[in-house]
Amino acid sequence: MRTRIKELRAKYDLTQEELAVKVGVRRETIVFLEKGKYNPSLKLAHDLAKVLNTKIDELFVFDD
Amino acid sequence: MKIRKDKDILLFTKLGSFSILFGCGVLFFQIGSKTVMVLGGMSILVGIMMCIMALVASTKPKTELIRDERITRINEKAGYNAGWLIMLAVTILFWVDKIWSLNIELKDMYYTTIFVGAYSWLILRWYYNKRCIE
Repeated sequence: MRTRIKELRAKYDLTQEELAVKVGVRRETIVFLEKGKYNPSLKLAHDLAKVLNTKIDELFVFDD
Repeated sequence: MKIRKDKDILLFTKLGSFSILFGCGVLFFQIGSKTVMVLGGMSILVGIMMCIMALVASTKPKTELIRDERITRINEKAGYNAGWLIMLAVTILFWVDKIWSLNIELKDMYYTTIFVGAYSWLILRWYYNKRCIE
């Protein structure tokens, strides 16, 4: 799984810390999400998509 | 290093300090009784631990202490595996006792299960946090 969190975070000029505060998780969780090492819950994915102004399926890319 | 001084940290430090003072008072006034001395010593120990915990927590930003879904998942997975390790330890002790007739008492079983459970949970939590569970 790849994510576009880093790319969109840069677009909206947000730090990992700021994004973590906005979605209510630890900064470490954002780090693991950006590396594609953590599968978030549907709620967290929804919150991230909302903060980054995108859709869930555009934020998380699954390689077949 | 930035140290936070918010309400929770101060409350924890106050409780820890109170516990230390209580322990010192108990030891000062009840030096004759062994049980009361142990109580006083424990109170001091708990107080010191609370102060250390408050100090460690105060150096970390508040966002690093949130119990988010990843931490909940890590705790659940570590707890599940620690439970199985306890079962394994008890089974091994049971069969070792049966085969070699070591006469292991139930009291020894308690210590072993507490030791295995607590340490394996802590180690597994650390491991899953480092590796990150999927």
